[in-house]
Amino acid sequence: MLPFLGRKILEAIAVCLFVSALTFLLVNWTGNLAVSLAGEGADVEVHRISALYGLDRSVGVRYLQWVAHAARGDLGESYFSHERVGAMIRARLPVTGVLALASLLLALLIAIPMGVGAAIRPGSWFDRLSRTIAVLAQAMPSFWTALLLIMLFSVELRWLPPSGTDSWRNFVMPALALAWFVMPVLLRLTRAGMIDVLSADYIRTARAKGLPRRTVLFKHALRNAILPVVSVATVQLGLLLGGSIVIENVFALNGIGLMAWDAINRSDYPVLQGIVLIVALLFVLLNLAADLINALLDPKLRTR
Amino acid sequence: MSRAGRTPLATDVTRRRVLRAMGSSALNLGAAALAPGLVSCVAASSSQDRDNDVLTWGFNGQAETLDPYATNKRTAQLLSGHVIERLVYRDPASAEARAALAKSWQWVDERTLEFALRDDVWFHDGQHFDADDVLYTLHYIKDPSQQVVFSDTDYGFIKEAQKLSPYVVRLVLNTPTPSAIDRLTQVFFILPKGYHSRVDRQTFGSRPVGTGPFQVTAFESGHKVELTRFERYYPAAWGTPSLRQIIVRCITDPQTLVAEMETGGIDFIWDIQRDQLGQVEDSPRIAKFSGGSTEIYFLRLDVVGKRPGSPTRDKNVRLAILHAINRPDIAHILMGPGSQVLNAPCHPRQFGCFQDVMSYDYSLEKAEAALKRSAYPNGFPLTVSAYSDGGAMAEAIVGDLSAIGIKATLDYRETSAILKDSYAGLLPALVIDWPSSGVYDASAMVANFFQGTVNDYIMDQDVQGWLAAAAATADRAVREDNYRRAFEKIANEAYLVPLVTGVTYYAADSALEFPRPQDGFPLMYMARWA
Repeated sequence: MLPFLGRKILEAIAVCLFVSALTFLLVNWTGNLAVSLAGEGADVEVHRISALYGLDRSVGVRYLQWVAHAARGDLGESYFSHERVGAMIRARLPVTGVLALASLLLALLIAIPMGVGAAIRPGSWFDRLSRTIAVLAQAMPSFWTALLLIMLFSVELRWLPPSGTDSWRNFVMPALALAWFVMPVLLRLTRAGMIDVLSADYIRTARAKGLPRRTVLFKHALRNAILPVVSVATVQLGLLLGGSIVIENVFALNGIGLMAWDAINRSDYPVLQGIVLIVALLFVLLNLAADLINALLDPKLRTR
Repeated sequence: MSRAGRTPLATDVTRRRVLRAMGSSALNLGAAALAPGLVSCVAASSSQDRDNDVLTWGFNGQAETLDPYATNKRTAQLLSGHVIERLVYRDPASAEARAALAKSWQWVDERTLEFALRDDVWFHDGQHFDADDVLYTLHYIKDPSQQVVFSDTDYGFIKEAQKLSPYVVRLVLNTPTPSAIDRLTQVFFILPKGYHSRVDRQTFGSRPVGTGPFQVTAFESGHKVELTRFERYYPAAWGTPSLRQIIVRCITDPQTLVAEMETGGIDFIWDIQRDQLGQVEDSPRIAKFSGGSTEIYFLRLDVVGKRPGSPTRDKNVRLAILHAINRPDIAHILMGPGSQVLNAPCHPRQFGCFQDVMSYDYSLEKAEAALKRSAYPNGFPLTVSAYSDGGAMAEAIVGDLSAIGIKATLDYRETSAILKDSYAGLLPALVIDWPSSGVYDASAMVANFFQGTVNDYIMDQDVQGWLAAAAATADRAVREDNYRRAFEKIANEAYLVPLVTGVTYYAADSALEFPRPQDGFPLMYMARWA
């Protein structure tokens, strides 16, 4: 176990260093923090601010300085709001976390029963319907889905508020929009896995022994078919944590996605670096969790 | 095919409008089928707001700080102005300077302004306001170790402040600045000496203290600001606040902003695009209107040749571009009613702005003829760059230039990325949207683009000389004469393409009353429910 954990920690450090260095370089190549701070048409200001904030030093020096501070747990402060980046992330991560978890749960609640149903009778009308839904969901851009939901549930029916974070009702549409986006891959994996497993010898044996259909499906088949779904779901959760930028923007949810979007637009690199670091760490942790859950579900994996 | 039909403007269609129209058709069917008779679960918060004297403002941006000295955004400073006051303010209707913290003012000489301050003003933390706060504020702004944004641009004209008595101060200026009072209506927010010196910037940005009609009672950075009426507010020249509370909700997506307006989630939207306003449903509950702005748009060309071999060094090329761009359509279709085609790169309301200079009509024949006379009769590739609100205009320009054989391409990027390249002299053509910091004086326009800074892509010695002469005196006639000469030469040499004036669009609950501003910056602390 210790070598396994040691390897994972080294992987986490390597991933964090790589993505943070890449982000730092891209932000500095494409934008200019001093220009963002000074505003348009103020070249004198740009020079003054560059010197004042130490932005006239090379990108490499500034990156190493950021790494040194980050290693001590200091993610710096926003150049615009002067808030501590750690506090900013702590304040906004729950919003994104709730949204990501709700979306993933919703997607799993739709995808798994639908995938199982489609796999029981491949080629049936239900199978064709589920595949059509998967294609449709995959083809629709998330911002469009979000706008359609707002128009239906807010503007037309007046059931849900279009934006904000005041109550659970504010999270219904964003979670639906994200679940709709994540669901197809989970549905396809469940369906494919179940079709594969249902044709296996041990399932035929289980049926021959006269086990109830429900036991065969859910105890023997789904348990094996779900392994890749668990792995992908954890990766999807990581994606949802770091990639709900558009949805947070449309629904005015004050999460880390919206914060990242603002930081990119203004080249506010301490904020962006902080978010990238935290999301990368979460990714690594989620992958670790996926490995552990898979090991729990499949005893063979534990012995490897 | 009409000329307008070939531009992206004439169709007045955006990607989102098409998607929205498609979605609307599908959803109307769905909604009709689902539950036409269901009772609304979304509270009609607009009427509640009215009953409670609350205004919910849908803010089309991010209010990450309320410290006016930590942001270069005029939009954010508009919110700060509800909390932290200036010595003078601009009356929305007349656009004239009026007394705020200063009871009155007078020019002592052309470089010295004397202000008599009010003696009945309190800060939100209970401290009394006096001349020391004015001196403290200027000292803070001028301290080079402070991270004050725009300190040179906005405050470079002020040299020092002098205290004559607890309620009389003088501002000594570096150069004669006849526009000083107008500038002071836009900048110089007076800080509380005690509180500001005690707290850090983040605290002040989220919990600022001022003398304004509203105080901050809740702040979620980039998300929500709650302003509550300050009960010890003095009897100001404009009156006292009627609203009990202003809740500012930051909603960056314009479609969501529109949906919130339609469902009564917000009472007021300011500074949205014309096509976005068109999406707000026509209803007696919502009033939609447009108003003035200090913004102008122009296409800057690389006249001096910052990039080697720049075709726009050729005057005939510039003439071709000037005649090829359909500016009347840009004004009427893209900007909408109230927008004006410009002949000179300045706002017609600004002192020293002369629009009766050489003008160039929209004529494809003249454009093609000029291009034939140039060194590039068969056209040339040209990248038209834009940022922020200039994107749609740049698209239109690209379409227009393609019609005469100039192979124009659009380069639309995030503001700091474009400005970085602009300062490096890399942009052959750039659509610039310039609000002159809200100042009604040509000096706020010309200093940045024609007086030898990195933004000067013309570098004309005559123009620089005239503008320097205008800036060195307070004599109106001399200033006017020099500005006229400069703008005439800029027009005669076709140094750039003056485009149009900006328009500000609003949507508001029809029961909400507020003075409609000429400069596009509404002072919502003056608002009241009818």
